[in-house]
Amino acid sequence: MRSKPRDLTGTLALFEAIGSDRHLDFAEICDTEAPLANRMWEVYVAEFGCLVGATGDSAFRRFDHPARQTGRVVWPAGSAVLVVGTGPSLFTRQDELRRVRDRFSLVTSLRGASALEALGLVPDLVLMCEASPLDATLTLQTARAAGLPAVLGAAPGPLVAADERTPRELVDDLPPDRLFVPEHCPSWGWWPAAAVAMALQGGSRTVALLGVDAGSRDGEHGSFQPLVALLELLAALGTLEGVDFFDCGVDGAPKVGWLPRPLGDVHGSASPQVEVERAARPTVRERLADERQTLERIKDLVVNVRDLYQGTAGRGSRASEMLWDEMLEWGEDPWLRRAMQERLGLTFLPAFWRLARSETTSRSRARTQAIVLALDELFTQCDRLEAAVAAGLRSCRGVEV
Amino acid sequence: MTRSARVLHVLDSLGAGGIETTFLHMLRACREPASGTHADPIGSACDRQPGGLTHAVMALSDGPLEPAFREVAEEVFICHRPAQIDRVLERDPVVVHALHDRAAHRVLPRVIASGRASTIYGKGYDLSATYRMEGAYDSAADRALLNACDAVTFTTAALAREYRVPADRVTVLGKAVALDRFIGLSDPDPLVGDRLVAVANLHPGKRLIDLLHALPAVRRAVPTVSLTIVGGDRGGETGRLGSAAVTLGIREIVDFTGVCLDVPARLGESRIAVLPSLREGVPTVLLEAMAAGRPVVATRVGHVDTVVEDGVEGYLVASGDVAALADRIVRLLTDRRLAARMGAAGRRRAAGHDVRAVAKVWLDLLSKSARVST
Repeated sequence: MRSKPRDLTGTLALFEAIGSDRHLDFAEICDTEAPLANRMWEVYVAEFGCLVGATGDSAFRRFDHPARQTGRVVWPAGSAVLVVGTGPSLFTRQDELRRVRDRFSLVTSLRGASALEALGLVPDLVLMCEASPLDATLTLQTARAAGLPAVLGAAPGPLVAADERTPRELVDDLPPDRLFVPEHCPSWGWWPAAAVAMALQGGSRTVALLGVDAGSRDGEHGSFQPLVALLELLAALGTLEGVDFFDCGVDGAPKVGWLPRPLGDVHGSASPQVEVERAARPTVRERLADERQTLERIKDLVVNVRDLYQGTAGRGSRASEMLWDEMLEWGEDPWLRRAMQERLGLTFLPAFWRLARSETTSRSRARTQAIVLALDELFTQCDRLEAAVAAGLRSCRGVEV
Repeated sequence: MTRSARVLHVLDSLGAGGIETTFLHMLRACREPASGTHADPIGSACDRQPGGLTHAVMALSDGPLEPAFREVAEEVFICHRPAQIDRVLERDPVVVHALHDRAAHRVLPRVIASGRASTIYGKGYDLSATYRMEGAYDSAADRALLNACDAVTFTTAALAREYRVPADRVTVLGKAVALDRFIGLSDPDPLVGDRLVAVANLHPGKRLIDLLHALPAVRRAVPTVSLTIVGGDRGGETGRLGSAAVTLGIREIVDFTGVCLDVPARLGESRIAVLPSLREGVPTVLLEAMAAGRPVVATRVGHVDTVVEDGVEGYLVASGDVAALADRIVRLLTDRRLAARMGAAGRRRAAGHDVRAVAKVWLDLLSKSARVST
């Protein structure tokens, strides 16, 4: 049975929607009653330029993901979640962490699981979510070179929440009862943000960080600035509901809203047991059928645009202007926008939808180049998705999956 | 006086990686008049630029090379936020040249859509190129961007063949090395001992662990062997390698220098450069070692075999073949004449990768792009 939704549910849903690029402008959400909606949008604009781009699956890894279940993590009342990264404070505080380990539910990344394993510690939950398909490939290749942490397959071992775009090789050998696709994974491209948001969604009243890098102690966050802004935002959201936030990496860069505190001074319930509310994931056959429906709807548009594109040759700027306007109009349709961003994993059209039209110049040469850029990616991804769906359907014909 | 044309170069970071370091030397080659035994192709190339070019560098994160870039570029911007990037683009560069895949994808689409500048995608052995070569990941977006830019540079002809960009927009630059820093290094001093050097960012993909596993066998044949590992570490690899060295009983002969900007000094102290990577493009450090007259032992991965011929400038072994790695290192440490012969062959081979010659080709392209843009 599902637990009663928390007060933060709607707010975190908005947080997830914005970070998943589901909205084009603030006007779409300005009527929401969710607190701090303004602030969420400001972070989206200032740190991400109105496009995070973390939910695209251009490599179609969702087809291969072996998890048979989706899930939502739930923590018992009074438990404390410790989000563990691989920054310097993990190593300087390792003895303290060993002493108080049982007070916390440890959540970490794949790399964090390796680091904890080297320290003789086992996390409770390993979260796999990457900022882009390229990052996922990097993680895969690193795992091939260094090996996966043995603790993932050990018994007892951690639960593994692996985003749908996780490369199959990373999770293929895990015990099926411990692997699931998280129903909500609002990462904005930064796994610690997703971990904190999941802790809030899951009912934790105390969230702490250790080894989560955020720049230097003098306040220079550098390329960690988006993460710092997200952590500040999540602390502000959680504080509204009385959640406590602590930064136990007390030698690191300051994080607004996170109280610096030694690990030993943060108290949670003893041995908190993390649970997962599970649901069956659609079968491969069901998912492929859904993909085919999506593809058919997109293909109608693509065929039309291919014709227009071929017709623009030698017909001057008016024809390319029409083509350009057509592609920009796609951005007005939320279903189409989401399908192209997430399922096709497009990057350029979503960027152009968000550039003010005044910025996309009236110079016909520039428009032609932008059209080439957007359509090259669109046509390639459409062809690849069509091939992937056809291959998937062929391989599961006659086999119940 | 003719107003100079501003070229904006965009990098992911100013970290001490191969692409960043090579680019720094290219800029430096443009700035510094040649001296000594070299001709001055770059000085004259610069003089030929109509109105000249000014070089601004925009990096999306900082790193230890930042002071060096501030010496050779007119302006250096470190931009973490989209608005900061926009402000730099609003300074009206005539050419925007992106050097990494991530930087290119973040900045060039905006420049293309605005039509305000010519675009050049400098395709080196970045992540997307390396994974494409291995068949691990083929990005449609990267291919589209290469097709949409005004010009594309590839580091090598071998890399250019991996992509099918129309030839009229392609320039093959060649892998560049700042030879001056290395050709002056003397042959290994017989008194320095049998030191190996491995220069690489500390990452599991560099497979330095294989080198550590080879070292006990090398030590049995050459008891005076030692190893210097030069490179920065952001993922705790130093700790893992250090633990492995302890387990293998070789910790006392392995040094970790961390990030080191004085690579020539480290090469000067060593007899052989070793690079046991799982994947590479054309590693700058191999050409630097060859320019220094050091024989190399590397893995036959990526396009390494375009600069090292097995048995000529050093040895190539299969990635992960620890026994072969140890065997080739022992051969070179125990046969000084063989090592000297391969070192000399390396010097000759590296001479064809002089940064000055590469920078001349690069400047011609930038100049041509600037003229088109204006």
